[in-house]
Amino acid sequence: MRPERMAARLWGFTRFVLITGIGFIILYPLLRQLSAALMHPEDMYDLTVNWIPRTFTTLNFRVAWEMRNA
Amino acid sequence: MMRRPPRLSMRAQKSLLGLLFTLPFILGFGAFLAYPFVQSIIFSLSKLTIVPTGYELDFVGFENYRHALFVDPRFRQVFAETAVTMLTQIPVILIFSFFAANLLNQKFPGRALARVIFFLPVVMGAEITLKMQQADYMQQAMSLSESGLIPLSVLQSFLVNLKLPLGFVNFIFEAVNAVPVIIRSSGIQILIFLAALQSIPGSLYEAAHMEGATSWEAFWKITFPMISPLLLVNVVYTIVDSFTAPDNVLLDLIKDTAWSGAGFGVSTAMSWIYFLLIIGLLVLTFVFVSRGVHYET
Repeated sequence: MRPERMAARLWGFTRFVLITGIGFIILYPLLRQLSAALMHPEDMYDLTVNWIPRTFTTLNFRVAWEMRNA
Repeated sequence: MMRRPPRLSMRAQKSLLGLLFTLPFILGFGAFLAYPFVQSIIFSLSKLTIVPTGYELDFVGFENYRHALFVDPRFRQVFAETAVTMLTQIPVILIFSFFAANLLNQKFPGRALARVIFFLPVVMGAEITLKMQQADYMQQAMSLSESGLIPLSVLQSFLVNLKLPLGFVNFIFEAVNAVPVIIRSSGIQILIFLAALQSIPGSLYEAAHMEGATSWEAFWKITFPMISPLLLVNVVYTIVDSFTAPDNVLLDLIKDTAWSGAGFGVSTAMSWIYFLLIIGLLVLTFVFVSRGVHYET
């Protein structure tokens, strides 16, 4: 491979790492909220549950919907 | 004799146009801001007591300013902290947003998505993001358990044990902690820089390339001067943005002082001290930055 192409590839990779990294930092609170919204209250206080809820539930959404005018 | 409308010189026409563009602000300021603006000056110079019919003002001169600066235990410290944070964050935000704009200006697959994500903090609104982070008690529980690949405290003691100076290690950790804040408050600045980069005609680069300029030279001789007007805009925007940020501790202190502290007079005096700092900073920016700004045409 010619050195210029090599440099272009290398820069492309660096750029990919930078952009995904920064993108993750920006999306982090959103993703956290999403995973917390789908969690059963039990999972919230379970420290072994990190990102993926053990019991998926739409309970939070239903409660929020019920409370929309309360 | 026929009457003709008076002819304006080009210069006068241009300044009239400029005035026209600032008119919405002037009208809005006159209608909604001028009155509270003047009133807050009066408040800051008087002692305000709430009476059943409203409030009463006793003129006390600069007593409130004296109280804010020399009596209030927290104001000076919070004021200095806010000023230092602002002054350190502004250059970092500007450099980061310029760097990010350069990244997003290049061609790569998924560019549109990347641009959307970088602008997302603005769409969500800083306040909402902040509320979300505060409401995230999951995260607080997590930070107690210190999960993750390498717990931060272990990393910190490792670096200290390497005989690196403690101040240096703390600086690194503070810098790393500030990264999300910097990134999330650069959305608008990235957008402005991106627009500036795209407004540079490609022919300039082509000509420079033909004449044998390297990319480094082209950056400093073409890109930098061409974006410099918008650099000034971004400096001003960043200063004002930090002034009105929802996580501004000084503003919280001012609110607390008004409702549960030394009262309205001292609170408005504090806001005026803060406001004068911002105004001073903006004047300095205009004096020093606009000297280096290059205007095409």
